[in-house]
Amino acid sequence: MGMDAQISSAFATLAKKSLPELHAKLAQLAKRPASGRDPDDELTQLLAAAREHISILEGWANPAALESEKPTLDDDPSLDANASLDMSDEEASALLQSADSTASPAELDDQDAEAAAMLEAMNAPADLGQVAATVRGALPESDPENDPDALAMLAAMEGSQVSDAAPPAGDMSDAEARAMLAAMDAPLTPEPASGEMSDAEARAMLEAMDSPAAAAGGDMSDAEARAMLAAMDAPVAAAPKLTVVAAPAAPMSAEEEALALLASMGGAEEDESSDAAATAPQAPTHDASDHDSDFEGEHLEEIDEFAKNDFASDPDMLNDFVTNAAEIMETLDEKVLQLEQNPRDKETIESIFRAAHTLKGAGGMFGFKAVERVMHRMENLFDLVRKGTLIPDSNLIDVLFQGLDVLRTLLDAVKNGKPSGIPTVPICRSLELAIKGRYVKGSSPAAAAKAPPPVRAVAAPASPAAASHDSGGEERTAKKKNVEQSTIRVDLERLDALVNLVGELVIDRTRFATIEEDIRTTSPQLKVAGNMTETVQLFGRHMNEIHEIIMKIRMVPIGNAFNKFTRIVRDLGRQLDKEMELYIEGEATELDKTLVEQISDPLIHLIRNSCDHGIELPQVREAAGKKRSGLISLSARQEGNNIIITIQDDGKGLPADIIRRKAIEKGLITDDMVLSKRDTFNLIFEPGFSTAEKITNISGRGVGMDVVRKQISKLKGIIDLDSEPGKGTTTTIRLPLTLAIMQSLLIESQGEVFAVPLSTVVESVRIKPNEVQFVGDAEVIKRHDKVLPLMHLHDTLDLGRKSQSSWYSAKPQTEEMNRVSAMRLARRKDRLYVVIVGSGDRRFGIVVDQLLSQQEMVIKSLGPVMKKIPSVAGGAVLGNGEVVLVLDIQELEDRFRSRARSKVA
Amino acid sequence: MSWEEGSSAGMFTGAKGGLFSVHGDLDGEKVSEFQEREQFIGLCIGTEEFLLPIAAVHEIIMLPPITYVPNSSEFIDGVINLRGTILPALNMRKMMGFERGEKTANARIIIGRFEGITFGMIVDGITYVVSLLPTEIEVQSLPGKGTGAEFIGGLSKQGAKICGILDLVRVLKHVAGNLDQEDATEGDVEELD
Repeated sequence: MGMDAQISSAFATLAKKSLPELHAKLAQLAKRPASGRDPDDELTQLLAAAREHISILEGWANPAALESEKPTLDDDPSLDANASLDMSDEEASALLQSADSTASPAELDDQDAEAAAMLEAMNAPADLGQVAATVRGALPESDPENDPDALAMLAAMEGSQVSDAAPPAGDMSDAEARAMLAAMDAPLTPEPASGEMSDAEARAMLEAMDSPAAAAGGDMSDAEARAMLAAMDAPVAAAPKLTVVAAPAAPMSAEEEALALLASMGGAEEDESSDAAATAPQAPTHDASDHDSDFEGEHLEEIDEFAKNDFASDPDMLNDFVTNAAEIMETLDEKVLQLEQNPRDKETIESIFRAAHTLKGAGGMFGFKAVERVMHRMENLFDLVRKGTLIPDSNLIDVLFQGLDVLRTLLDAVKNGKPSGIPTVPICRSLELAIKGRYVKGSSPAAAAKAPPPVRAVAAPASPAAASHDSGGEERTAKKKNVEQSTIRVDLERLDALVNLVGELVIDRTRFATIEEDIRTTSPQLKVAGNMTETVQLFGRHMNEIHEIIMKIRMVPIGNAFNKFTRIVRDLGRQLDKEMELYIEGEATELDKTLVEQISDPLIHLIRNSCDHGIELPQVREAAGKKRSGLISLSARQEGNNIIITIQDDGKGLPADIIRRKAIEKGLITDDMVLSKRDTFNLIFEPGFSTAEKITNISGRGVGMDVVRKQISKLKGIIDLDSEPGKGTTTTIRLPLTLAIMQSLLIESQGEVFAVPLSTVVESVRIKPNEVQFVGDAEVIKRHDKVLPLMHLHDTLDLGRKSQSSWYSAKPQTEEMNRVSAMRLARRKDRLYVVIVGSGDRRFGIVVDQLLSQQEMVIKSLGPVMKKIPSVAGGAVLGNGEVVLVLDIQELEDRFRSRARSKVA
Repeated sequence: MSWEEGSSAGMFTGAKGGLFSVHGDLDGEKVSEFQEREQFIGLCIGTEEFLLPIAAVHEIIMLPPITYVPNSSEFIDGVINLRGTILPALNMRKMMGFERGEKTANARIIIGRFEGITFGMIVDGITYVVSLLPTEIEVQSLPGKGTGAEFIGGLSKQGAKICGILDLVRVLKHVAGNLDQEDATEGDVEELD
């Protein structure tokens, strides 16, 4: 048949990137097998020929120089040659069957007619359609039967909807499907081969269904030709170009389109790509999908994640991309979950599809090939779902989530500017298998045949409409749907500067108020004083408003952090074979953006714990008389200036006795120490508990709980844990609303003023000295039926050393002050001021000399020279301009306890 | 004659704009006197007078209330508020090995800045500003019998009186370095501005 020569010359020309020539050759190739064939004989011959070709192609594929050709072959050749041949065999028999059913000669005509029709529609060169089919058939496979095959597919799609060719076409796909099934069933047949084959075909089907078959065929050739060229080209250059071609037609905003066009001009092969862009303005999605299914399908090689182009090097645009991508990923996560709940919801899948498509397009435009590649495959899946051919079940959702995870990694890599090195092939494969899986499991042959009509009906009007709608600006419309009000994106740095400044103003206001009070009290006769008072009050009111607004600017609903938990619980449930529900409450509760971002990790940890250790297996639950499915509830609510986040599960609870035993072993408590239940539970936050020892296997909790607590206390929050054996565990986290400005209690000890974050203060009390009881060395008081250890601030902080270490900080002692302090001293004789801080049963009292006032303050770092001062979280400037140190209660407690311990030892 | 590397001289010449200093370094004595002169600020610490390269001085302020910071470096007297920014105030008396004395009315805080780190130095008084030619500066580390000598980067020979020139880098390294060691276990560098 001279196929060798044909093929090799075809490849040779391809190597020269000569598209016109390629077209010509392909046309020739196509005509040969098509004209005057005798199915039986010819097929056997062709199979023999195919065998040869494949070995030749493999030989070709070996040299490094020609490696790039590999992807231009269809899925099969790069596989084991035998595999593909097996496949061909299957195919052949299927074909023979179908040939018997009279369809084949007619199909070609059919196809021709369609091609013509399609070409009219596209204003493209007349042979494109033909070439499309031939490219699919002749070139990649060098296996002519694939040609009629593909044609048949197209015809089938067409036929079933349009013409009298319907019955044979139906049979055709029927047979086809059976062949596929057979191929899969055949144990020896390497799975991938058949998989990919059906895959590719499925895709072809899809395309055919998606838009008028004509267009599909047309851009198929286009895409393929381009893909080949691209593949011939340096791999790096390939991606941007390809995607660029896809970009103009893809639903993107006008400017992006323009940029994409520009990029295509800048591309290595301007003529080709812009040409292609011009000829295929209507075929965005399929474009790339073709290129994928046909060229990358099975022999996906790991590609360069970043093929940097001009866009990627523009930090602003890249930044936009990253932000948008993050938003889209969030949407996707959320919507995919919704999809699982409600698989047939049109709106959900549409928005998923749009989001996916936008991300793919943008990723491609920037040259992030890996993103594009994975997204593309997901998009294919979404597309099937959208068309109703694929009903998402949890398996599919799993795969989708895996895909999203990979994407997230890839996008992170983009953000960080260096490739992640995560392999994309496995996920692409599983995504493709998922498509295939649907075909095998979900739809019987009959269903496959039945599928097209309704789809066509939807697709035909939908795709142009979608295109025009999309081109208006995908992201914008998507966003509008989510948030019905106009928003503006502000650089966080600027916002922070503003917040800080307002914080300063708040302090200034306090200062003004002090001055005003001074004037009012010292010289009330002054007229100015009255004016001053008025102004200061007005100023204060405005300031309060500004303060409120500015604080709200940084606030975001905590739901942003919560949403991903649904997914985590779901995944874990599947992993652990547990049935769990996550009930989320109060997602709308707002708190500082930084907090939302940083609270998420500890929360994940706690939720994982609940899933892993809290909730029992369904059988166990039933045996215990509980509902099969465990309930984890995650709620957030605001309480004054705090946010309370509660994670509650109805699992088995914590085994207090084991924790206690372990704590004794670890030396955290002594044998004779009597701890309350809550106190015992909170022992798992101790650092010792998290490491090594296998308590986690027995009791569950404990892995990294100290880390959780550290993170929470870094956010100036407090964590508390309670549990009821058999009933479940409740973890409560208390966070300040914002980190920028915090309410503090000012206290004084030995003349030094300190601020205690009010979020950590439980209460402040004045007690009689005789209420203090001594337990050995330790001082304790009883309060609300609880025993609290007492700590003297001046002791723990070594305030006595002040006089020697600080020479200049001594405040001038005026007579007035002496008098006041003398008075205080006298009063202190019979009274002790105790600030009770901490959470749950980890409370303790701090003995101070004086409680001063409560104030809002902006916590500031003490600067690089004083990076780490133990027990000091930072400083704040008071209204009088003095600096006050803000105590870190957590550290203070650690210090206090370790001191107590070392004292004992 | 160029100063040794890592000394504050490098810093202040750089801070001066580079132009003059580069010339000075490259061309040596050929450059006019005007270009070569460096300005120093004279200050009292304890009973002695020292010089500080003026380019390293951000501003000089009166002694504000100083807040004691427990468990900080022994040379940090406390923190001060400079228009909303909290800065450490170094006790220069202690650093230079002087006895504790009365807080004088002349005491000032010199706000210095080095590599983005702003800090205050409590001194007992400011005297004058002086311009020195490189030839009038003797780069010399003192053998030093006690604390303080290690912070001297050079000596001025102008006039009858010999003054030590403070090396800000060494001062800062001494204070922050101490903390670095304490900090090593924490590995917490992110707080650096």
